Amino acid sequence: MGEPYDAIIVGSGAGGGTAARVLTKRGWNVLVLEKGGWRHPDEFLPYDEIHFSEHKALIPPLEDGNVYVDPVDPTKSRKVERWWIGNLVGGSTMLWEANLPRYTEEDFTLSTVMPEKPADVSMPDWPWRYSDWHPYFEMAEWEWAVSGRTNQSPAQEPTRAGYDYPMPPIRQHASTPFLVEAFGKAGMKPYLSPRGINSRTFDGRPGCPFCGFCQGYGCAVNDRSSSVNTVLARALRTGRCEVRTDHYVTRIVHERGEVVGVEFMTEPNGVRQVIKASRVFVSIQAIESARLFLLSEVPNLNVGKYLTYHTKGTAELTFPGRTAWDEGPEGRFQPKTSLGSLQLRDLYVIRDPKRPELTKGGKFSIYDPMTVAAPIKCISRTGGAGKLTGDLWGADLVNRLAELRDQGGVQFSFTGETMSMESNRVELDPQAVDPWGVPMARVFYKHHAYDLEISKYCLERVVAIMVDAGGELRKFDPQKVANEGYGHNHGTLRAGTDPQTSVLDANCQSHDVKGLYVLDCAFMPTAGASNPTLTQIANAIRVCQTVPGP
Amino acid sequence: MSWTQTSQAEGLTPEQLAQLAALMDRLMPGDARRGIPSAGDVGAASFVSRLLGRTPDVYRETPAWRALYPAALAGLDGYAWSQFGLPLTGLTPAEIDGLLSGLQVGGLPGISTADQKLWFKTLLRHCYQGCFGDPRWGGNRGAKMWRAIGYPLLPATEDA
Repeated sequence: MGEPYDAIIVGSGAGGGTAARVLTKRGWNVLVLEKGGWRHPDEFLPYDEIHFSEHKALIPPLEDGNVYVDPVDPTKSRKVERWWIGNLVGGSTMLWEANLPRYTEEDFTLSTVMPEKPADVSMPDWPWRYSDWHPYFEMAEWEWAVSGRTNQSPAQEPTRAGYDYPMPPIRQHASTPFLVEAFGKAGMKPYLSPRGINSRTFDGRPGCPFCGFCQGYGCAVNDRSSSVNTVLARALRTGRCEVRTDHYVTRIVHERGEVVGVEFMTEPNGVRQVIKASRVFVSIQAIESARLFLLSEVPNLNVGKYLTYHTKGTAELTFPGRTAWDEGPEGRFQPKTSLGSLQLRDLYVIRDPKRPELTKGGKFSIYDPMTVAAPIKCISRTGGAGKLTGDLWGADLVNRLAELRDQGGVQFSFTGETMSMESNRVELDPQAVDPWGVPMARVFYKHHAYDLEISKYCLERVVAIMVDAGGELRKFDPQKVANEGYGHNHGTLRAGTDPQTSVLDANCQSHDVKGLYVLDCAFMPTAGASNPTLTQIANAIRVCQTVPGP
Repeated sequence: MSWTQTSQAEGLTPEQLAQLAALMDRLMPGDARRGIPSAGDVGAASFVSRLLGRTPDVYRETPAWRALYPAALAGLDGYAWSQFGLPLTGLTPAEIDGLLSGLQVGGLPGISTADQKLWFKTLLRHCYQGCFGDPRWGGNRGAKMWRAIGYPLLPATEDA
């Protein structure tokens, strides 16, 4: 072809880094374009909640946000922050908590667990089977240094005989025996979470010292896996991968149904330049990739439609009479194993004769509210006795602080199935532009009644079990209708076999522009009910191992 | 990096600081019996004054807060005079609690509901930050609040 690069990869996060790794291993020369710059672990010090979290040092500012259309009154809209985007080399994998479960057959082939769906939704089965993806998941877990242990629970993701994660799980939280026993009485079996967090020295990086600055923070210790310290590092070592920072891709250039290259800027309102290649891989998160397809005028009527987030929900309980999980010196210190959380997957599929309309459920991550987040966030999102919605002050705040300090507590975070609807979508905003002068994404999103019901139902199930074990409710926050954005975004460029109903083919290549591939979660026909990134990575491995060479 | 510098500049006048301290001490009254300090014990209002005294690049909302605080404190002081014939700093704890309850739901007469809700939200958030943030920002004096709740982080050194 005469071009210096066999492929251009747009984005250096989970999908882009994985693509660079797999393609360079195949001998390709790749160019990775990243909108942000390099950030090194020592730049994430000192541990400072106000700077990094409260003052949002690592995410794009509001003026570089999305426009969210009010789901109740569509004549109203407002700019919202994209807190799930990290414009830095490694993308959001520099800021995540690396919760890395697999999607399973219940996600891939929803019809097996949800034969009857609400009339106004579009929930196709995926064009692949979970059982065919074992090699990709296994490679994803080893490439990305996931700690965990298979076969802890019957509810856990099925794995192939003899397979296990490259490292054991990170140290369990002191509440684990109590929680396992309580759920065991209800016939459920939570298990230690798979995490892209080193439980011991691995791949030249140390084990996690449990600093508590995890989700939303850069990992100063470099024990948490990211694109940068795993796949991208290996791609760079081949000498066949070049990373260019401060390159904001604004258009996919295509002619006569084939990709020609990408157009980019290196500064706001700068000169638009073009780099050519006959293969382009886009992985910039689903809303952004839909926006890029719209900006590029990829001719497919489904672009941007069927955006899905996940159905969320949070509950917190305190256990009167039960001392803090690990009293530590002077009886005043909390355990420092915040993210060694349990996962509860026993409500992935609901079979309750009293609620036959509820079928596909979701998964819980279980945390200690006191140690999962630094103190300001912990206080900001907790609730109190009779004040389940939060915003605690006065005696309510003091009482809750004393509870958090003195009593065992638990927090449940739900990640559930979400109904896909055509009306939940991404468009280009006709007026608002980002600081580079590029039209912002205009996002329409409204949760289906099923989502609200499943969130409430699953939360009530776990709360009931915890109340039986002596817990008192302190926070109950099920999914609401409006959702102005979430870190798990998928489905805007659905993959499928029919160009009339999908944007990508089963290999995640554009039906309409040959050589253009998408490796973020935009390909997912439905949202699934787990943290999506490991499945996204497995898909990127699958696509890049077989994509025809130039 | 501007955020790592310790600024001693004050963004509030001594009178405004006293007004804010009176409010914050009711948002976070503490409980000596249970070993929990109050907002006043850890200087949460000073945190706000220092925050407003910093350069705007510390956080994008800083300029808005510089305008919000004088307006909010004057508005609430005016409310105190109109309702009790006393300055804000002369109210009893119970009277301030009533004021804050009204502010939270936007129910104080004579001030717009939207302003009240925004003021309350900002005050509470900054109270949390001033109580539980790193001492380098001017609050959580001596990391007393961290010790009180068993949070094990040590304060970052001032010149990190």
